[in-house]
Amino acid sequence: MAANKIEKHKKNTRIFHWLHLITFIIMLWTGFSLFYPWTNVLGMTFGSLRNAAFIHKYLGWFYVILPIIYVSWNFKLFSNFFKTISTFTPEDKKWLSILGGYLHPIIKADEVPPQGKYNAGQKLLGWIIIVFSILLGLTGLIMFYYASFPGLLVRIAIMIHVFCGTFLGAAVIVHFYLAAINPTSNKELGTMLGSGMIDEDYVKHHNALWYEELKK
Amino acid sequence: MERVAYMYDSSKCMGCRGCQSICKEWNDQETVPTTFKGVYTNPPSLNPDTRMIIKFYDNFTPDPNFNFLKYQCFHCGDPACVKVCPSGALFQAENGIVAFDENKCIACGYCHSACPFGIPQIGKVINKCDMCYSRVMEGSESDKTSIPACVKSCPAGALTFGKRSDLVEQGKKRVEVLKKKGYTEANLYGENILGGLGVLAILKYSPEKYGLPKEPVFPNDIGLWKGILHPLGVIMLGGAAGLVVLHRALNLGKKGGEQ
Repeated sequence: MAANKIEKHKKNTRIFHWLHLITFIIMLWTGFSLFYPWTNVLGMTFGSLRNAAFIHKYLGWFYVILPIIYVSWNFKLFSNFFKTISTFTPEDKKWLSILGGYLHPIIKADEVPPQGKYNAGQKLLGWIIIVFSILLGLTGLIMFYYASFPGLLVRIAIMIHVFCGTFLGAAVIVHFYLAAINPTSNKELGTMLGSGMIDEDYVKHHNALWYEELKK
Repeated sequence: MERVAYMYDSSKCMGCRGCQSICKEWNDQETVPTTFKGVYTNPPSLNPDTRMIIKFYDNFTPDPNFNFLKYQCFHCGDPACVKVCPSGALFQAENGIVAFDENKCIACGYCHSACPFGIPQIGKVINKCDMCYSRVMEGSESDKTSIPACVKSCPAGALTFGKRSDLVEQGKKRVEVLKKKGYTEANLYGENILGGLGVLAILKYSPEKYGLPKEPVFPNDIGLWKGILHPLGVIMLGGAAGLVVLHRALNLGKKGGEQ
């Protein structure tokens, strides 16, 4: 096997990724136990449902502030990332139409178009995370200061909050599966978890456009 | 069990606030100093240490007098707060009293935003009128000593506690009397709204003059929570988990997807 490695994720990005993910999982876990009375028992992992609510409320601030710290500290990294996920190419469109070949042979995909540093699915996930996290933060803020807002607005905020939370949870499940379990792509987990380096051969196959760019 | 209620006769109330004091006393609530802002209503609103207040409304025409309103939880027949409470802290007793178990409260504030009057106040936990649930439940139906503290304390005879159906009858009669006296707007507030309120109020003027919504509505949008959002959230999360398990079991995408 080729020993050549390419750096995909910088250290700060990796730290941020894991901190934010762990926070999100705790938020999803506690949030779920609060919104669904039949799952109240999940909250008992934190001692009591009241503790779960307390953690959900105050960890929410961390969930919102963490990305703000990351972005302002690593603005260049983030703006590069933002530029990447903002450019959708014809290849991306094709990728999405066959869902990256992950459902072959249900969705026929004999040839998967070459992708950049992030494939179309990851770009989409990036957008989902950014937009839904902002919505979660804003509606969460309204819910935190519920007494200062009209009841109807708070109730609408709760509904948006719950939808975004559960949708994001579903997206993260798929993201985790593809990055950590699915055999053709599970190298990504080690990259994000470890040194941020990834095999050159893997990049050649999975991120051909990015590889070309790097070779220039 | 028959539904109980108490009736507040605003035309008999003299604004002594004995009910307000005894409420604090019986429920062991802190008193916190406030600043005078030119109105007699004090504290200016309900707060986590105050379950009920007498509101004072200046009313110089046609009657040079105050309008008083005893303001607290109205114990809806169809309480939205109970519907949205996620921890089961709020409940409606068989006799119609909307009470709460503060040990279960998680201070989420859903009840406050669902209440058409914005009544429940949340400090560390919820605080609102529970019609002296513990007192009322202690005695038998015929035992007149087991009545809410405020009713017991009222020196003006403005408060009556009893079976709700009886009180509605009495209230209607009183409204007729007031109408004959010339108060043409006199009305019994809470007879039919929100499933029938458990706190009825005899008012000399229209409810707006007492800061009450004439037609408070049950927030039907909370039906979306349980009707759509509840199943949708489970479907999305469960669906995603099911899909990845299925994907692995069927061994799809062997040709090598692009991560």
